[in-house]
Amino acid sequence: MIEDKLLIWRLKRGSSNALCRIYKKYKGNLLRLAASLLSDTSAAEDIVHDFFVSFAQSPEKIKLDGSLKSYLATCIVNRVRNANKTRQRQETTGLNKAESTVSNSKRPEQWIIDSEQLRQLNDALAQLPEQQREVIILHLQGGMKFKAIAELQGVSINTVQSRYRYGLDRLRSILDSEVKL
Amino acid sequence: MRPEDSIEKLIKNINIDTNAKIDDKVLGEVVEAFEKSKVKKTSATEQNIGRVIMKSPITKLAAAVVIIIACLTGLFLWKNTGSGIALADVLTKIEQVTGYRYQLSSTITRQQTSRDWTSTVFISRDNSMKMVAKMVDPNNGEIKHEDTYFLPQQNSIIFVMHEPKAYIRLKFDDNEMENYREKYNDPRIIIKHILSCDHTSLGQSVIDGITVEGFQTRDLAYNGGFVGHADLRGQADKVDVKIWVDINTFLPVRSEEDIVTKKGTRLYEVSSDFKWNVVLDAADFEPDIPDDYTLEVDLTVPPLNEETAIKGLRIFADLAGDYPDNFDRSTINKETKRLIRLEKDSLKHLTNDERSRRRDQLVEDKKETAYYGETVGPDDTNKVLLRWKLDNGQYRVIFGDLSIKNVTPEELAELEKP
Repeated sequence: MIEDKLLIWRLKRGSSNALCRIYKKYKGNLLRLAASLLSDTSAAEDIVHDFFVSFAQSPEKIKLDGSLKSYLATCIVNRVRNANKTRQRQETTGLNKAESTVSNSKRPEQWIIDSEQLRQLNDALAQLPEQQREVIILHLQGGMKFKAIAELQGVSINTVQSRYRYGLDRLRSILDSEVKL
Repeated sequence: MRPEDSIEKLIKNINIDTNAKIDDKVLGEVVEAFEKSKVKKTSATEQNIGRVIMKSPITKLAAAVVIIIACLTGLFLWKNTGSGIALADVLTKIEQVTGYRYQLSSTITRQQTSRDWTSTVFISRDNSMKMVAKMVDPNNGEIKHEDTYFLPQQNSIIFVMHEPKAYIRLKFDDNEMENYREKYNDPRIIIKHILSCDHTSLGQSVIDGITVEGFQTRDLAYNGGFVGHADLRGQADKVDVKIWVDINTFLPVRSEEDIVTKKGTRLYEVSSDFKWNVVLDAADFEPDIPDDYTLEVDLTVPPLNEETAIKGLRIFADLAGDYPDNFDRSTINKETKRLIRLEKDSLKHLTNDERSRRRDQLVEDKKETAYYGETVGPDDTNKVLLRWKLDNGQYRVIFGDLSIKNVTPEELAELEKP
């Protein structure tokens, strides 16, 4: 925690070393987070890349209320939401429908899915309602607390916990049905 | 179906293998974007302890720590002043004037880069001081204006920085305030320091039509105030300080200080155009701070004592992860920058020669002070972090875990065994 605050402080003082350290420390987490939310590693890479460029261009705008990890995760989630909205608009207008299909087929070699089980899980996650998927991914992969997720989603902690619980139930249900098939 | 916790575990374990080459490329683009957008650094990081511009709680904390440590260092290195005759009379005469003002022209050169500033200094009988400074940033040639108010009645020092429209307020206890006053290089301080050194008469001459008598010291022990230039303290390679006094009024007409440290930093400062017995009232020292200026720092500097010094070390260790590498003034100055820049990698800067030289300096001061911040960390409960000799022959020891104990020389020898 203190290291992150110092890193941000150094970054604001113009330290590119601090920027590199932040990038190396959180790039993997953020990519994983974006990829899980989007089920599309290529789009996730673009989002993380664009985010870090933007982050680097205006460090003075960074205002940490909580942890840097949560802050970065929140930024990525917002970008993912924007990307999803764009994608939905494109789907509505019939543009790039093939490209926007929720799938990991774009660059499957990048997913370290060493078992059929994980592949199924990824597919199941993609089938969850966006808000439930977001809560599960942010909590389990982003390490965010329910309180922080509640603030991000603009709902109560109870709602977030319910989404988490329903999301996991739904996942279990989807995966069960796949197994039965 | 797998239990719920297995699903959670699986999600946590989802990973993505990234291409290192692409990673490097992306990072390169990110850094490039950063460098392009980087706002020109101000010269804040080059400023002195007292003028550290602090914009976050962490910086405030860092400044507090640094001030504590710097003050403690001052204790170890402080030298007593002696007394003289003619110059002592000048000092007495200055104390009798109601108020005075003068022009100060300063140039400090570090590593072939010079920084110039000119100031008008106002000093009242109660030792309130206002310094209105104009300085040129050597990095970009920009002119900056800064006013400093030294207010002993309020035990505070206020720095008003006009270009960023900001101000800083530091509060001290009585002792620290007096210490700070000693650092402002007004003629009284210069004379006191000359008196404490070997000095000679330059004989009589004429300056601006006034017959003056000059005094000079080239004593390397000269330890002027030099507020804002902590790195000028300690060992000097060259000292040439002169002051000329009106033979009729016994008041200074001009002074020149030319100090070069062993590290090559040079300060050249001229005080001139003195106006004595100027009428100055309290309103002249009322800080002039426009409403739209931001209070960047409002810091109460803790009184200097063992407890606060230890607290300072503890905070320092919490912040920086270890103790300062060394404990003399020069290093403290570097440590300040270290906290300000937090460039840990660049901290491995001290050569062995520098380290041993600094230890030698402490030994020369005969306080038998030793500091082992290089090798002792917060977990070293039985290792000596800092020690100095007490008047009773024992040693005061602060251990790595910041516990304190008085020990005999024999016990100390045992503790310091490799």
